[in-house]
Amino acid sequence: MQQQQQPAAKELHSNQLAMQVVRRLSKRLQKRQQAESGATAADLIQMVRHEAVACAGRDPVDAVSQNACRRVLKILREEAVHSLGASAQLLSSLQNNLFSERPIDYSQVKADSLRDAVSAAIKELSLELETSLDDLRSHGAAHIGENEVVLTLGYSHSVARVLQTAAATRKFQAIVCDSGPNFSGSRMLQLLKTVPQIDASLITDAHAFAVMSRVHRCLLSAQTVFADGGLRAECGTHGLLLAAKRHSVPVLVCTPAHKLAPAYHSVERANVYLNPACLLEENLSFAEVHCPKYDLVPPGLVTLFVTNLGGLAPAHLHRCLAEQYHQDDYSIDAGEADGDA
Amino acid sequence: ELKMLPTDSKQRSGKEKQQKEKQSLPASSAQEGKSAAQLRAERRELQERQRAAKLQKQQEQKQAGGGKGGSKTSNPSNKAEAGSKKSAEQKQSAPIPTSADKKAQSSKLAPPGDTHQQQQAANKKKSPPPQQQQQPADSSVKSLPSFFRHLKPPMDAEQITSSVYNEQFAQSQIEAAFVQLSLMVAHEQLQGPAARCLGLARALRQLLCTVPVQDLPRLIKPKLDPNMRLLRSAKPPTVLESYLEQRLANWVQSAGSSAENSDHWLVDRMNEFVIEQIEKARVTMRASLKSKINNLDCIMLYKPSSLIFECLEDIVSEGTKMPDVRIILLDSPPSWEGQAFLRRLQGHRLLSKCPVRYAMLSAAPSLLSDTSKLVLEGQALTANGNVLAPVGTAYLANVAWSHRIPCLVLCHACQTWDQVLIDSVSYNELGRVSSDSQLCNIQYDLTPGDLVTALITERGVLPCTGSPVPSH
Repeated sequence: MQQQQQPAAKELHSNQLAMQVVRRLSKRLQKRQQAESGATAADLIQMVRHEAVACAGRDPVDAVSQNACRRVLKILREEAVHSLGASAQLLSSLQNNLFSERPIDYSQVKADSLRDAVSAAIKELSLELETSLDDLRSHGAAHIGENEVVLTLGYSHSVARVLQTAAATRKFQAIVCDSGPNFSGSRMLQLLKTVPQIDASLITDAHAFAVMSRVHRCLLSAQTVFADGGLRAECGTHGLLLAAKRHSVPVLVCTPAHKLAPAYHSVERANVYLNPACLLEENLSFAEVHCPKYDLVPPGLVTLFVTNLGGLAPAHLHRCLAEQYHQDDYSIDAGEADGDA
Repeated sequence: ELKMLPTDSKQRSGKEKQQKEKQSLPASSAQEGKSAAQLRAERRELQERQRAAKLQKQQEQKQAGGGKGGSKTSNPSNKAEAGSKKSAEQKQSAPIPTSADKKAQSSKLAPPGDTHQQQQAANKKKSPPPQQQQQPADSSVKSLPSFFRHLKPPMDAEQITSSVYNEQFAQSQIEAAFVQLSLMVAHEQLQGPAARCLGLARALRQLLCTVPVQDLPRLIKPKLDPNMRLLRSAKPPTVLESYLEQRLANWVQSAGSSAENSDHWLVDRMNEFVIEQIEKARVTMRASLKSKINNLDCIMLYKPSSLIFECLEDIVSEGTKMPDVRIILLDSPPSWEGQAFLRRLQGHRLLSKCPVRYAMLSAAPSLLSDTSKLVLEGQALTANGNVLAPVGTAYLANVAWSHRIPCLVLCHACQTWDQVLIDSVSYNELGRVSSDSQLCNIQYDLTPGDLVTALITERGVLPCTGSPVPSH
């Protein structure tokens, strides 16, 4: 198999980013618990929520850090509920949230009582994040058949792993779409060319509709998955998905579960715009250049989300959300971009 | 060790070979202390050799003309050994295998009964296009998607000029104009649907001048044939070019029956054709397009040619009636025609009236909320009502259709084609890319007729179903 590529200092895989955030939070939680003897669960929760707001402020496009904070919050809340000695009724579940009798008062719970349980749970979370990309690839590889043509867009670590795993037991063709202004497709092509069972070729995304009649699967990745099935993905994904829809080609989006954000898709979600100089030379700068890094893809175009927890239909994303994050943490306010506005 | 190797009834015939191969194992591995991995590797090699030997036997039995079968099987068996050795050494920097190589590797996984059929298929794959076998096994060589491998790779200038001097054309005289035209066509210097036709007309004029008028009907065809062959070897003809050829043949035929007096009657006819069918048609199309563009419109353009440029000039010179028209210009590699259009616009008075926005084709969906209409140019209208256009047009038309943006396609009336196409794969051309690029560049794609709102021709504004039905 392909050697592990050492990521550059700036280029962290999403799970590494999430793990960083979790580590940072756990250190701060420990410090807080040691420093203040009278700290309660409510204080800890507030601290983590502030961290989530800070993450959003640093990088509005990055949903992974916020999601990591949400996972830690869920751990805190769950452990607090356990330690309140509450019966099974008060444990959060869809049904029980509707019928619960009174809101849980986290300031009743002392931080000391939570310490061991929370650190154990955070260790589990770190382990899950670390192995998320490995778990994902076995789930995705099952959907690629022998001698099929798979279309993908740009460079994605998850998709590369899924393709390599599939190539271990069957041979197929991979067509990589290279779309501006990112042009990461050649990097993916170089990687796929080293895998002997994959017949890899590179096209521009202008060709996407032309080749789509011969494509069996579209395998893509996303930067963020929204709760209604919309995506924030590399620029060019939207056009490609529309072409796939026209030709009824199944679209698989391979993302680890920590990219799932509890917010609805909207074209006004945060986006990054790249330097126009990457496209145009200076004397042509009389034109207004529009080069977004990401596409905000509306829901309804994806067949299946392949996550480290398994394949997930778009209609069941809310279930995955409910298991990962606590409902009170869906919207973290104070001006962050990905809240449930 | 013999006991550990798989023994089934099919391989008993190869057992003698097995024993011989056991003896021919390299001495070094027998002497060194064998690790488990080495044992496995040796076993795999043996299995591979057995299978190859068995296949060879079967092939020799089946193919009576032993020579052909022998050469074909020796190749796959060599490659099978090479393939297994490589995998045994676990080299990940393996070069791109040809199709036969891949079949041999996959034969390791398939049950022995299937490998014969796969080997046959591999042999069939190896016989036609020679360019596949000439590709060096090198990861820097790009590979096309399998469904495009029937397309001819684009010709170089050197290939064209050398073919002029080689046996094919040595006996006939090729006009300099045609050589020049072929070179320009091969290097894709003629953009836009009418440009190649005008180029052909120009070259034809030069050719016709060399033929004396009295001998024209007799001499024109043999003179024309080698020139057209050269041109076609550079690129297949566009619809307009074929139309011009067809008309030329008709004129020559009709002239044979009645005596024409004027000296340059054929050249006159051709000039008339160019004026009527191309230049006047353009004027009419520009007027039609202008009538479809309203105030405050934002027009999205993709691969616009001079026709659209002139139309924009018309609009802007309208002055007070249409003060606010905006342009969104989309572009895509490797031809970057949008940037060429921008260079034309640079310093032009158009810009003062008509602000331009530039984006890559991939950003089109995000810009559609701003757009009023999409204007594209078509290369040909197929007989079943689809539009053949420069690659990317179908992508864009589909995106616009999903967002309910009208899509207008400019097309000459004589660009209707009698071919029937349903996808972009069966008829296409390979385009030129820079030598260090790994991109597979296709020239055309097929836009389904229902994605096009209206077809603007000089005969009127039609739906795509207005294509003439070919009479069979």
